[in-house]
Amino acid sequence: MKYSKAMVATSVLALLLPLLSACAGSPAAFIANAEAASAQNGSTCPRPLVIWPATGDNEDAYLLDLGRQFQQQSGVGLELLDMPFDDILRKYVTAVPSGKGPDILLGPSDWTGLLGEGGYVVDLTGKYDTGRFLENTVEAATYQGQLWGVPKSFEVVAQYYNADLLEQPAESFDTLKQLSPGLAGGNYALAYDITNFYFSAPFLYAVGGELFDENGEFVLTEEAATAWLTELRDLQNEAALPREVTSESANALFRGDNSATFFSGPWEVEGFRELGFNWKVANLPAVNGQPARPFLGTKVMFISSTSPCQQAALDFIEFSTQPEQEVAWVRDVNAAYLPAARAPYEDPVLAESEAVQSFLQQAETSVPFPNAPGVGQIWTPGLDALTAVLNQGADPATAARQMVETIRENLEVRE
Amino acid sequence: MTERQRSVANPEHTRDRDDDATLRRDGEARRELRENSPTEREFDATLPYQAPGYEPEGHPAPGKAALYDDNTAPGQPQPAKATLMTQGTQPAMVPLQATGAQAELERSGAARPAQANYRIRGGSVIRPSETNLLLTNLLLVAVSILFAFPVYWVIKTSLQGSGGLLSTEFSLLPQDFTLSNYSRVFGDRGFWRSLLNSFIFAGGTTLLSLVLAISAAYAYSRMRFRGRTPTLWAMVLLQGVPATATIIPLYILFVNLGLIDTYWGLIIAYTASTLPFSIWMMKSFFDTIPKDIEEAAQVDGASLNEAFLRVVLPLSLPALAITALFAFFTGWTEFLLAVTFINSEQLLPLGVRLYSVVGENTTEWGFFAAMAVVFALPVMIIFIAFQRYLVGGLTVGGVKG
Amino acid sequence: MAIQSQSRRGAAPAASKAVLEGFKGTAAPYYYVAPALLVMAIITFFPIIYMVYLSFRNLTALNLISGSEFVGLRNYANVLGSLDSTFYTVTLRTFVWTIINVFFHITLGVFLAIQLNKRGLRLAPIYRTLLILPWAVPTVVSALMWRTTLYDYNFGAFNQFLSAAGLPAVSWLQNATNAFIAVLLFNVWAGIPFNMLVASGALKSIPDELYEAAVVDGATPLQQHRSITLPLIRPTMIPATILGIIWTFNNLLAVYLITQGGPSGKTDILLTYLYRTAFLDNNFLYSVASAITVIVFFILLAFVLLNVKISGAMKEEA
Repeated sequence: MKYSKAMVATSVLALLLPLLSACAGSPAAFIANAEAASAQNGSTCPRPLVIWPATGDNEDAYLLDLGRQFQQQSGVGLELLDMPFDDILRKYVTAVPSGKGPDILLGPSDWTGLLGEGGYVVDLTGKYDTGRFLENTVEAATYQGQLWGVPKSFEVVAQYYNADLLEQPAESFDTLKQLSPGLAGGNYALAYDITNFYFSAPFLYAVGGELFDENGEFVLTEEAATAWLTELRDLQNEAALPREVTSESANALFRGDNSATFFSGPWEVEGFRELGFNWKVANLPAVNGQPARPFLGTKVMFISSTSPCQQAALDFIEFSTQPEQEVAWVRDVNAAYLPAARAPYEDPVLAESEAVQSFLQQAETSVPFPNAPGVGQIWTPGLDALTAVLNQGADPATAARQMVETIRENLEVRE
Repeated sequence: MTERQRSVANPEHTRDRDDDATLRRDGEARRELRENSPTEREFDATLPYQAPGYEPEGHPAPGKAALYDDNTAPGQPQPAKATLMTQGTQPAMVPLQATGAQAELERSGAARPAQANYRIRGGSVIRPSETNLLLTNLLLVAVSILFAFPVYWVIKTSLQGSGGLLSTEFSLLPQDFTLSNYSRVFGDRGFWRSLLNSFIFAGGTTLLSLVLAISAAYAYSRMRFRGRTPTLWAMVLLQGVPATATIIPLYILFVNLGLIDTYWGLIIAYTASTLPFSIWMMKSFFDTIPKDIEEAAQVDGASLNEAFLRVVLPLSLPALAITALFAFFTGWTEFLLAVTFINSEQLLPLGVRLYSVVGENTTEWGFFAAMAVVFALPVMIIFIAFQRYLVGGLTVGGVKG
Repeated sequence: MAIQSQSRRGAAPAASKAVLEGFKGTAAPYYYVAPALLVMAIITFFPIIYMVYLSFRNLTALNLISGSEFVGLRNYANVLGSLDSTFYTVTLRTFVWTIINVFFHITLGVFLAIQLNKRGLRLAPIYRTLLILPWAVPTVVSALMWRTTLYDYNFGAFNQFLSAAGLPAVSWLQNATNAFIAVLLFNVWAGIPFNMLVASGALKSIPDELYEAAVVDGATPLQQHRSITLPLIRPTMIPATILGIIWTFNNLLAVYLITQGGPSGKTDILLTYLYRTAFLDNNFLYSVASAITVIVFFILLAFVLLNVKISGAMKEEA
């Protein structure tokens, strides 16, 4: 019997030991522990803070730089983990309940509702003064009355136009339609990633549609969707827009002086500046007299609920949103970075930047991107509807109905 | 293609003729021949049965004149002659069906003297005409190229100058031949880390799998205990259920237990997924070892446990090897569980790292191809070397070949 | 070093019923099987039960920490409810996927095996080695290889080849139908070798004399195959087919790695659909995915039971 007993004992022990240690915590326990640890740590942290930023590579480098400055000031360092954008949220909601995960998450405000209500991030209501930030951005970081993060920056889609080809930016769809005959051969009046819901949605609002109301309810009507798709289809036909455009090709067309206008966000500025052609930024064209209302996408800094260094994290967030740091960011990293804080805009670097001011202006008519959980359900049906109507010649009414129904179904499943 | 397809040689699958099944099959075939053959023939019982075309000295084979060249179209009237009668000739047909390797040897030796005397005449599918053979060769060359092309293309890409992105020209040979991709791979710390991780996952799974499966299989084979049949049924049924079917509850479980991002978590997950097949396969193997061996050992004074350890196990090396190989493959090449349960870059196995390299926008394919080659080469060599043992029988579900 | 059992063939039936009396009545069996069963209990048995439990609740990422609620059959109603729901499309697609794949696997595999079986092919070993390459390469590598180096719109070999031939490039992966064909192509390529090997093994056991007798009887090649080859490999190929069905049905790796079930989930098969519902597109609908899994489980169980019955695996245990 010695063999069997010995073998069983060893393997059972070997199996159970890690499991026992793993049983040390459930998510709730991890969170409770983290709170206690944070209270104990105060503004210090036994290890560097870890941040997961959903940003580009330039900004990673700058964040690390900020981390170094912060360390000199407070003694707490910063580490950064880079990963593809599509994976971040999934990994975050896996890691945090397991007791792992970063201290700070820098992500789009779409995630606010899910992260907040789900308990993944720390509730900052009443613990942080947000008065120095633009109201729209604070709204983006708030869900159902609770503040879940600190806004860092925002972006909005606006109209880039080639000042050599056009004297004035296109003010409306009609202008665009009248433009094309007048342009030199082979040039387009407009080329942008038209089937991408993010870029075409501003015109949905222009025709009177609305995606979500204040309570996070989905309120888009088929009529509005149909009108929107029809307008876009007419635009594509009458302004002779290129077909099956991707964002890369639209970008290439604009850079190559082959299209007069381009709808995109502030992230293009750096690339355009290097090329040195004469571009400017203006508001998006109106539709039938109604202004287009792009989404105001805010980047929010969240603090994980399982972080043992929550105060230190908050200190870093505070530090990184100071005017001095933000201005340096605009100056050195990204000329069209739009801080969420108000103060940086008074600095000459931003005040005198045409691009920044134009985007700011567009932001005034922007719609804060809804942050209810489940908001992610609109992208694919939107893409499908746009592709169907614009690339495959489907009937707008049918596509609109399909889109609205699909979104509604998807949202129902999530209740 | 799943890892399940790296199945194991069924110890019961043999080519022995003294197998009931084979006899039955041959009988079936004989019956079918009878039913399907175009005409009835007469058999000259004075001559021993010979292969068609064989002419023993002085004895022209019956019906030799009537043998067809290839290309006789079906339906053409057959020239008359004496040929084989296929009914009621069991005794005379016995040599054909002689069972046992020895008989076969004799028969073939007797019936097939020097190659020079033996000429293929008929349109046998296994000994076709020259033309047919030529066409077959051409076909096989074409298909082989098609099959091997993707593999070749990757090797070629890995040897191609990386200089940024590839050109859009189609060229069969590497443009700008270079080994720099490989040196980049070997210089990449992440690669080495992932390689180590893959070894840990694969090795851990192998060890654990072996230990657990061997003991359990032995018990299933040699012992009877309560719960034996239902759990054995579970082993069989679970072989068709992929790990992905249980990934969701497992994920929730792991999250709650904190086993995400740990070596141990993934290793026991892998082990559990290999166990049904391994246990079943080893049990089938043990079943073919007569218990006399252990009883003999007992007579010699060994305890039953010792008999197992010292006598039976050494005999089982082939099956052990296959269990080990299978477990190693699972640990080395499994993807989905790894990608779901491992978040941290420190623990990524090589397969997942390959995937993440591709995901980025500006994929440098020379680099990817080089890493892919390094990842796949050991596996491929083992496969090609052991193909006969890895296929053969369909033991998943325990089919007797 | 072939499996030793050949010479013990005659002893097999007795051995398989061999129970070592020495172990009777002891607790040894339990010690021997306990570790394996324990691991399987944790990783397989319990999760299956937990999955059924979850399918009656509404677990998503939102209430992962706070806890889910009981919702009865709502998930099943959502999934199975309306006939044009995604679930049925995906199921249909999965069956189509499986049937087409297995059809080509078996027919082309048998065909190639027959070719390779012809005597007088001096290059046979070379052919054999090249032809099993698709199976020898791990799926992770081969699928990614196909996706990047073959199917890429700009730099992939297929489009390069097409443009070298003067034909327009094809968008393999962005277009839903093309993407499905693309994955099909890959999986057929990857699956033929195994079936070819199995068929080869079966073909080897057909005595040559049968063919020669048939030739003497005047059978044409077609008739030879019809009356000898096919019937004799049937006992082997039928289980192979069922196994192929099970494996292809479950093969989410091919689809996931090449298209990720895209574009927009239009090449999803059941298992990728399941995975997507739980982990992709920021869905995190764990309970709904559990319900889908339970349904898939039943389908799989049916296949496996069929396999067990046909192969007679458990006959001696009855």
